[in-house]
Amino acid sequence: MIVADQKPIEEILEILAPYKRVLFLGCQSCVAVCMAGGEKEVGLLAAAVRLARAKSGAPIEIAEGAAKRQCDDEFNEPFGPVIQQQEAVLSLACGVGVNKLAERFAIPILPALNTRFFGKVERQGIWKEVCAGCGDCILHLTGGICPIARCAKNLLNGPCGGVRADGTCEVKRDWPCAWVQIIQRLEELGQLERLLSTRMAAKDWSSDRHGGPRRRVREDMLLEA
Amino acid sequence: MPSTDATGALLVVGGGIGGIQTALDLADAGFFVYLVESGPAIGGKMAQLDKTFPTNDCAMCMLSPKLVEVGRHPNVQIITLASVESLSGHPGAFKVSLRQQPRYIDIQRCIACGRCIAACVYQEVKFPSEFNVGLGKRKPVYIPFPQAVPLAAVIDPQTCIFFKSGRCPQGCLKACERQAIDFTQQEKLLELDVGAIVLAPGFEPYDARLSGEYGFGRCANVLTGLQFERLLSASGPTMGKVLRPSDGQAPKRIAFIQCVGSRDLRHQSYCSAVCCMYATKEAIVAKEHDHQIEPTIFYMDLRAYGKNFENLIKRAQEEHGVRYIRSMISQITESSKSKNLLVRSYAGGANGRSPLQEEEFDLVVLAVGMRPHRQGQELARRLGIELDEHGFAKTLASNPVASTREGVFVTGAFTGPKDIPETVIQASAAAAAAGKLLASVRSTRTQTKRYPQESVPDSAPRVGVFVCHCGSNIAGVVDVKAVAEYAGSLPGVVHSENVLYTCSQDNLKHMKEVIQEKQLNRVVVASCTPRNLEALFQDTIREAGLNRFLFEMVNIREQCSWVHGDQPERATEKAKALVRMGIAKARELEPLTLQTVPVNPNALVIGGGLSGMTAALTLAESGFETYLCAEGELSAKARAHPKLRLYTDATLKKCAGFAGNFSTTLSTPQGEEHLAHGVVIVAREAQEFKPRAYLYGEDARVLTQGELEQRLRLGRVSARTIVMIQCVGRDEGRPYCSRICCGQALENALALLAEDPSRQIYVLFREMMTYGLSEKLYRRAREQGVVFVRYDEQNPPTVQRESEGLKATVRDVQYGQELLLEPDLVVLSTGVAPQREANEELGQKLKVPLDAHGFFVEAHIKLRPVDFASHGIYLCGSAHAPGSTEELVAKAQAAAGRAAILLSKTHLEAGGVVAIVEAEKCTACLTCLRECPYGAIFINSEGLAQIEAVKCQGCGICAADCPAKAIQLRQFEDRQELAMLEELLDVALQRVNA
Repeated sequence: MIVADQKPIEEILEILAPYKRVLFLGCQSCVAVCMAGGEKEVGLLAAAVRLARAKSGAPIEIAEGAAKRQCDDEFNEPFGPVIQQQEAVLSLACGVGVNKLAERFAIPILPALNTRFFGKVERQGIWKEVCAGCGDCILHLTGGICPIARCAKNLLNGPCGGVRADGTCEVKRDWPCAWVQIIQRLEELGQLERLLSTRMAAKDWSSDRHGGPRRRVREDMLLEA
Repeated sequence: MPSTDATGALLVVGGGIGGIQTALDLADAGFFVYLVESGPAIGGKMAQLDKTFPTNDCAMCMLSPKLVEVGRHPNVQIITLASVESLSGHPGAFKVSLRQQPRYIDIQRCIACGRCIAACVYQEVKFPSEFNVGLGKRKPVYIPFPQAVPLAAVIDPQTCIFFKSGRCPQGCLKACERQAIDFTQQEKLLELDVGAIVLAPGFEPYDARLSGEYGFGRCANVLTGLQFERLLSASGPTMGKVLRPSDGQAPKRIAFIQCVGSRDLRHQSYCSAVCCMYATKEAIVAKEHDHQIEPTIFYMDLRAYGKNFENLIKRAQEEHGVRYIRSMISQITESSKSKNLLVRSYAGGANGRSPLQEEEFDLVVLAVGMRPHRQGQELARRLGIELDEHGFAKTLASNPVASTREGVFVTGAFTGPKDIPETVIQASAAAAAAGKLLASVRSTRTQTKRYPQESVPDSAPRVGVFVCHCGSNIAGVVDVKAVAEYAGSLPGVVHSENVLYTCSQDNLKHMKEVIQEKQLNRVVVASCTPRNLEALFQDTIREAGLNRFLFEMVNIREQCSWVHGDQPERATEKAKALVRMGIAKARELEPLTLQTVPVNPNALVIGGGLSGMTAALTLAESGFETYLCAEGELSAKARAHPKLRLYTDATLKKCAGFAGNFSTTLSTPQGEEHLAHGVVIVAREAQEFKPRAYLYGEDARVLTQGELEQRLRLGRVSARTIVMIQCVGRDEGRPYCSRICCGQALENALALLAEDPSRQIYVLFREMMTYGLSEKLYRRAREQGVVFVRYDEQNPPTVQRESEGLKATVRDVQYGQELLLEPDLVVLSTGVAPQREANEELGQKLKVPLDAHGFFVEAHIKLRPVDFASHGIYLCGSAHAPGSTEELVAKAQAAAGRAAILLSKTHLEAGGVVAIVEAEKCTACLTCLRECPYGAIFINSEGLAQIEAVKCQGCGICAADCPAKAIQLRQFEDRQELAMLEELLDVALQRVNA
């Protein structure tokens, strides 16, 4: 899932400063699950902003809503009439939702979140990045542990010399070295030999973000206009 | 066996936590209960406690709901100020006579307003308050304590001047607006027919005056533990401030003296089992009240033998700086000027210093022990049951709640010193045993009420408001007429009136008439706390054909008139605001329907040890078809019963469903077995821990206590010098105290000496945990020459194998010397350890929790010790917590009794105030499922969260945390709560603008 953080309230207030009528639109998908932008957060944030603005003598009128998934127009459409009456929309979706709304509606669409990473739930309240979306997966070689996402240096042949004696990373304390984990895991699976005999080729980063904005097409699923 | 004339009613004697729990269990299981209490209110000693160990939770906060529950239970009749006179008849059909002292107050009429107390001829409080153990004072007319049940005043004829001299203006009589006072009341004799009797007279604190050396009664600043408890309590004489009696100053140095009256051959030879822990608790709580306090605890042995007890001691030492000094105290002297106290203790006398040390304290707390209650002694004589040498009721380990007379059961501290959870366990066990005896007449004396068909509100809200005067309780401060008028002007309100006493019978009748006449479809009562009367009002509107959830109660007494007596105008404004909020919510109320779910009356018990067998047999003998999944060989002696089906070598494969309707698949050697049942009891045992240390498993001369016990039984022990090492394994995977090993070691030591008195036995120990009555083993062992050597945790003994034999060394803490022993046999007390992985697996299947060591965790450490939080699943056995045979049997009986409550019902009601998921909004984020403490939430076939109404307890955690706002708790829905808040904020806004 996409993991996001709510921006600091000061920043949100600054973003909202020019506007007096705003829809706070949450998204009930990933960002609801990671407790950053679902309907509950919309309510909490709206209440906080109303208070802050009333206190500063510049009251704001906030409409509240939450789309099932902001990255699809169909779910945003029901909010169209409300949006027409606003000066801006504060989106509590990930960046995708903000882009999507901005494409569709001709008023300012403002982000309430900082979109962070694709994450797994470690336990309730803690999310961790384990996939970097590089577009060229090698997890079958690395025991299901991604060195691109989980090694601070994105190394393909690790561990580096910076690994600590207790198996943690020199860059991030308390962060286990992905390569130590990979080797342990492959050992458990009896597949360490395979790793030793594979030489990881230099990574082609063009499938990653570094190759520019990406796009995916599935011809067979396209609907004829 | 009970005769055919058996009656389905029981008598429970004693209104402490033990008696209350017994009464509740029996009444819930289909019996009528007379709960007899000798004092004016139930609650017992627990009501006097400030906090409880080891969690330091508030005692009254736990007890009070129980008091209320038993007080308004339709099948419990509380009879206060009464004692049992005699007993005749036979089990199943006893006749009991009770003698009830006059209260001089009609409980039905009294509303505990306190006017009589204010009007008493004594202007000042004058007589020692029983509740505050003499530290506070009361008048001759008084309310026992704020949360008392029955909540009514009482007149003490011993101190009332009218009774003493006949000359009193009787101001109380005139002051009472309810005509509740009646000086003509006489002593009454009551005759009751009951099928069985449970005695729970409890304990009384040891009378510290008997230990003259501690100066109690002579020195003002020497208190007992119970008195100190009152000093700590917010409802106590100092309202929770720790002040010393002599000068009202805050004491700094406080000494706790352990074992006062206990473990003392001049007084009580047994250990009182709770004092080490309560002193530790009091020391911590005192420190929390006042940081200046420096507590010191003088003790002989630190007996922290229960679940999580040691952690509390550790916290006391490390976080709160409580000082523990191992020294018996033989004398306390008072300084005549400062009233400070000099405590002389033994300090070891190292480096040529005097072995004795004197220290001055501002306050001394005597950790007095428990003695069997005097009333228990009298009861035993009248009922013809036998007592032991201390005055505790005689019982058998195999049936710890049966007295020596059939049909008479005993429970709680009457059978030996006990803490609250052990008392509650025994209470449920006694209820199970008594219920078993009367199984054939279950539900013959209880009543179920019938209600008219509920009308569904189809029109707009028609709210009726009743604003209570509560005599002058509310009306004396709040302008109730203005409140009622105001309420009448609010939207949706079609009726609003003032009532003198909303809760009086005549008003309840009037209320029903108004509901029908004006076709009310919502009712608001503005009176007192909903705690006592909400159920009564809900019942009333139900009688008038309204759904009981169409009711809202507004508290304008405790939360308004009583706290704002000095500002009547503003109190009236507040009352208006509160009523306005209540009406706003009422407008939003909806009828909630309860679904009834049939209960399958069969039980599944998991675990083939002593606990499993006991629980299963108790249920089978109570008339319930019981499946015992023994999971391997049956380790307890099997006993056949037509209602008991035994599955040896079976394991639980799958368990689905909920309370009343579980379906389980067992894997057995014969194939899979599918069972349908209404309850599950987890009765697994923990096993003797097998250590790696001390040559165990390498040398045949090193055994565990369990192995020695077996050999002794076979008469195959030839060793002459035996060294027993306690607390083995506590550094390798069993860090907790196993509670039973000290007693077990000494039983073995005594058996060895019985075989051959010339044997030399050494017991190397850290702390002798011979708590309660097992102290006698410790004494007897010392008398018979067993040598006890204390070692400390940092210097454990060693055992080596040498050519000439085994060599054991130990550093004796007392003498600071190393001892070299040459045993023929080394016996290790290794304690018990749960089978963690197996328990984890079972825990996952049943969705029940385990602690860090692999023990199962109960719903509530004090008051629900054999229930899991999930409804319909119960626990017992040493895989819950280690215990002696007697304790395990009681726990198994208790679990069976708790299960029988559910099984005795034909239907369960589900729904009402439960959480519901709006499927449209649910994103299946799993937050609710992870958080639900009752395992009531699951992901359904559509991939969305769904809440099992039968399991939901209405706590609201899921509703509060759902990130998609997809969950609402009925009766507390956002729109209902927000409607109230909006009214409140509107009132506030008006005030600000005005």
